[in-house]
Amino acid sequence: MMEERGMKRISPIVCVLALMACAPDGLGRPNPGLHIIAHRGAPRNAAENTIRSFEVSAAFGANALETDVVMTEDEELVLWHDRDPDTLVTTIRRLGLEGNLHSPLLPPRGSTFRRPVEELTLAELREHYGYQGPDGALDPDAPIAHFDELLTWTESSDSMDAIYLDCKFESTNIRAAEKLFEAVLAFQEASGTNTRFYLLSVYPEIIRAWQAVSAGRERNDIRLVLDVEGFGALEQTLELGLRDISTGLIITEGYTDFRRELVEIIEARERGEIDSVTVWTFNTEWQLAELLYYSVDGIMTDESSILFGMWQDTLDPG
Amino acid sequence: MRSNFFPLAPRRFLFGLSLFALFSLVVLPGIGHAQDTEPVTQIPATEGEASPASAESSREARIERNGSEEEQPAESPEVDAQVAPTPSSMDEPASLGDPLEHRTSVVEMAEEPAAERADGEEQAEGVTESASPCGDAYRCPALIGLGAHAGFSLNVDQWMVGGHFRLGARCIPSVRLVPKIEFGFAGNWFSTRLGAHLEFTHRFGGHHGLGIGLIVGTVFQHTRSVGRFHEFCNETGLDQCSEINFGWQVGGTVRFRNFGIEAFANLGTGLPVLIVALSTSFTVIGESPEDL
Repeated sequence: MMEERGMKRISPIVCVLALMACAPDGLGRPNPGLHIIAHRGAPRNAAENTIRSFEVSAAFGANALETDVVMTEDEELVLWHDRDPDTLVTTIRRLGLEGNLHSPLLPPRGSTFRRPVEELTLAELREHYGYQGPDGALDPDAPIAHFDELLTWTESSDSMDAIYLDCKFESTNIRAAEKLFEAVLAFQEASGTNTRFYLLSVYPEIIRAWQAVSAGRERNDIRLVLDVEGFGALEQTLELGLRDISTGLIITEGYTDFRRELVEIIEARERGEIDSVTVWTFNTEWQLAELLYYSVDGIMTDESSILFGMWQDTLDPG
Repeated sequence: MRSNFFPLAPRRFLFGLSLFALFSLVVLPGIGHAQDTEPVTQIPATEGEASPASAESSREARIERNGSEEEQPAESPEVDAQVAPTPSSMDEPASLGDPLEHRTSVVEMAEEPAAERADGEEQAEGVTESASPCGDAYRCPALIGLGAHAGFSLNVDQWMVGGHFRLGARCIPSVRLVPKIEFGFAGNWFSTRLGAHLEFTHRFGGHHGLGIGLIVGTVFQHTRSVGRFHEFCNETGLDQCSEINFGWQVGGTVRFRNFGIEAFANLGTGLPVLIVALSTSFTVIGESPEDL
């Protein structure tokens, strides 16, 4: 009881000291292997998650790509963010509050086609969903891309060092997880690219499904990543036996807390406990500068060209 | 895009400051003048309640301002109709029609201890002397306070200390203009913020008591790297380690006497999402510390 009371007394002091703490050793070195991860391509310049968007991001200097993957009722993997059209996030995106050039176009409320993607066929999804441009109309030049199109583009362009697949499957949709893994594995075995695939999910269940399906077929160019939203990325990643961390700043987490945890993760990487750390999604220049200082391995951004220029500065100080 | 936003920031900041300047130079005196023309029922003092000392000082001040009692300039017709000093009342300094009563509550002064009353009289005379070149501005004398504040900001997470002025007018106690400078420190950054906000406060129980208010303002921020991060920036030549940002602030305040707790939400790229500060202010020109 006394100890508990004592902890309560000193906790504010600890918080104060932590906020003013100096950065530990091991930071501040340029990272030639940094992944400039184009978040859904270049959504400020083209419809997100489309081949056109990927092409633009490559032109901006991105050497890695993040895209969202869902699976339809007829088991087609498509690049689409909003698995459920009725979430708060989808509503915010629908209203164009993300600041992207296009916003997702959904069926009106009450429509029989306004339901989760896994309850729609690919044809229904493409007919009733899409992207609306600045004029508010459906952009016919921005169709919802099939996952196979991404693979084809990856092989033909050979411009990306890494593809981060943000899998939006629900934790119970093991079938989708397995299908995606098989598709990526087949591509890696057949293609001659050096592109590394990172399979991300926020659900440990999906990670375990991937671990099960990949048993005995592990490849260094297919990485499984628990995408941690909030605190505890290092612990949860190590707990699942993974080697790569993906973590981001969310609205309920202060930047100081995020940065403090990031330093711990970097220290773990320096000790060899993990292989890489990827952070998302940062567009502010001062934050990008700080993340370069922290020597992270990948930064997801909507501003690939800005990050590319900054990264080049760190590599060539002259 | 930030790269496009940056060149516009100084212009927007100057535009924002211009709005405040316009408000403080035109609107505030206008409100003060309007209050001067309110019916005499706003003036609680009566001839009998006025202390001889204050009455005499008011009279002296008026004489000093106008050269002589007889040469006092005529008021506007509206004012004349309301205050309508009679020849006899003109000779009575604390009469209802004396406009000087607006800036000094005779009742309050009469109830104050002698020492405080003397201070008040001194200040009243000082205000009159300083305000007289501005014509009717003496009717609603300026209040100027000086203060300090400290707090923290979120995203960027920093401690913050600063200083500010509190500018206002005696006759509109609910509005204050607060130019301020503040410094944020922690993490890998040092921030300097220059700005100003308008504060609209409703006081419960007179201007001494508890009050709540609304704040709107504008802020200009310079951020630079410090420590080892700064060394990294210097070595690599990263321009992004030093930034200038501009934005708006909205928020609220809780005030008691001359203390306040203020919370600001910042609307602008690169600015902290939230600033919370504890502030205190002291009157340097004006009548009582509680006004500010």
